[in-house]
Amino acid sequence: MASSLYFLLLLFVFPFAALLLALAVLVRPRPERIPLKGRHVLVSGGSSGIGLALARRAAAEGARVSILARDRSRLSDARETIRLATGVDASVIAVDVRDAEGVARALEALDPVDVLICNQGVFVPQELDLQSLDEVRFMVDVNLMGTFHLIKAALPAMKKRARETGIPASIALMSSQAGQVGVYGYTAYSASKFALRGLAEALQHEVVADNIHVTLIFPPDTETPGLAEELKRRPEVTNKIAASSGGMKADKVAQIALNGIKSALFVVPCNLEGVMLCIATAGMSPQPSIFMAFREVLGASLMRLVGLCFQWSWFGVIKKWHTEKGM
Amino acid sequence: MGYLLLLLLLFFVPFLALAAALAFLVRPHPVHVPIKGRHVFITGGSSGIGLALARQAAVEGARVSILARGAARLQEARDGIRLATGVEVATFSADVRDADAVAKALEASGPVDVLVCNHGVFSPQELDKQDLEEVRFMVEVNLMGTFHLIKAALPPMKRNVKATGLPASIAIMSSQAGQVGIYGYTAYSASKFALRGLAEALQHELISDNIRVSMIFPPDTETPGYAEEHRRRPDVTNLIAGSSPGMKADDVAKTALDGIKSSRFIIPCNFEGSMLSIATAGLSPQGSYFTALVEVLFAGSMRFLGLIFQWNWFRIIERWHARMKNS
Repeated sequence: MASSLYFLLLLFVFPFAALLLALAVLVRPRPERIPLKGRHVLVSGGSSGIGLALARRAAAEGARVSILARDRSRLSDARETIRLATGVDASVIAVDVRDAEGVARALEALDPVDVLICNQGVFVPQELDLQSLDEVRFMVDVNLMGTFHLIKAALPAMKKRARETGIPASIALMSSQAGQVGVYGYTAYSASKFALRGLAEALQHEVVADNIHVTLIFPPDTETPGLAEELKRRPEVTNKIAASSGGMKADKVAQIALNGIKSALFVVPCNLEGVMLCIATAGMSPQPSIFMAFREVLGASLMRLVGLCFQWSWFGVIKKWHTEKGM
Repeated sequence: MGYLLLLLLLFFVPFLALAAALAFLVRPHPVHVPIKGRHVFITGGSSGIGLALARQAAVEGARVSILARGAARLQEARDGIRLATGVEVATFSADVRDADAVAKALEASGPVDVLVCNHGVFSPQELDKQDLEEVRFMVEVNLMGTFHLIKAALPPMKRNVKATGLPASIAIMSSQAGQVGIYGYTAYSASKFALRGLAEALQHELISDNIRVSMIFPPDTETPGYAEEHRRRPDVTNLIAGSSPGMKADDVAKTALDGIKSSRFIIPCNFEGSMLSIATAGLSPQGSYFTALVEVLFAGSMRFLGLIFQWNWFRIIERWHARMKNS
């Protein structure tokens, strides 16, 4: 009786154990620890919201912090905030990420960056039909091109430094749950954020040999000045759809993001819903974490089903809203 | 005998339940998008996949317009199609990066029923070495160009749908590089991944206007564009992506047109593409309950397969770098 129970247990446990073993061999890039203490962390969009929280936390962990943003006075305020909270003096750089040369000059004047956090982002939700192309361009230029500018400017010195010190470096990109699924009102924003993933997957291939790790962070709606602005413009339908995603505090997102960066994860979800989204949208992305890979393989089927349920719900919401509007 | 029946039932019941649930859930409901006698507008239509699409649509009785930059190639394309099919296609010369020129071209062409955003440029290179001008070029043409076309075509398209009661279509040519980013593809994959975010959100916004969004994901295809691109490819990219085109333009075009007419959201072009599409289904809508069933059933194994591919690619990259160091 006991032996057949054992046998059944083994039969059940064996495939899981075999999968774990296989994943332990397969996962790439190999997991690493990326230290922050004493290293140079640059945060774009660092004068408010998630960026400011990231800068403050990095400073608290002993990093040398630089914050980059457009507005000089907001940068000043941010520097004060960081100094009051941590005693650390952050460097400030006032530049628009859309200005490739400005970004290059600014980064040249700084020490080599060890951890580049491309966190800047703008977000104006609206039906593409009604939205001006200028706003679309604005989002693509800031969120996508701005990130290209930052990476191009930081890479050479980052590579050299990683080579000289032998310590792994990091390029972290702040995406969004809107960079995992596109919903009503998000054509331009989702386009810009989905793009970051294509960029990140290819970039990781290109910089793995330089001991640089790429990380994508996927926060949900986060309580920031940016969100407050964005909520004013949101179409009704988007509100009905996006309401299903819980909001988070900037500091919590920053904490989770930094932990993910330090563990050299490729994707960093920020809440339970985010974990499910990450599993559903794992796609062909690299996965350095055995545990996350295990969850992805086992959870993929269920998450696809859940995803289809969400789409069923969303299309229902859209239909209902249009019927009510008499369209 | 009774046990066998029980086992069969135990196996079949959940399977049937899943199939039934999916038949209920899948959105948007598939529709037939006719092209005969309707206006099909194809960008990048003077060569490669676009030209093949134009020719095939003409054969099926559509009223075809092709848009490209070069007047000479447009002329050649028009002549070629006339010779092959007897059909006269309208030609429009414009650079998709120029929003005004695009708007003018679409005004001159009249309302479009099936907009095929097929234009694309592709310069593979390590981001480290690539000029930002080239990055910008790919993002401007592939992404912003598509936004320009959609913005310009939408209002008359919506009016036409209302007037005729027939569904319209916006088809976007992506690429397998829009499903996975690999070495050398930071800018191209960024631009193609972006199209998916755009498409997912756009389908939400246009479903009530009876306009369907389709994305086509061809592999390397034998086109003049591919020949150009192939010369520039980094060695590593060739090692990863293979050095020969996977499909002929005509075959891609046929698959694309079939998918557009069936209002499929995701259109893979070959078997490998189907597997990629399952792996990267993410949270995309899925109108076909059968495809949804395949996606749900195989999601986990496709993720596992994807991880094996990444393991292999990172190995290739590692070995290439080791060889470079030694020589």
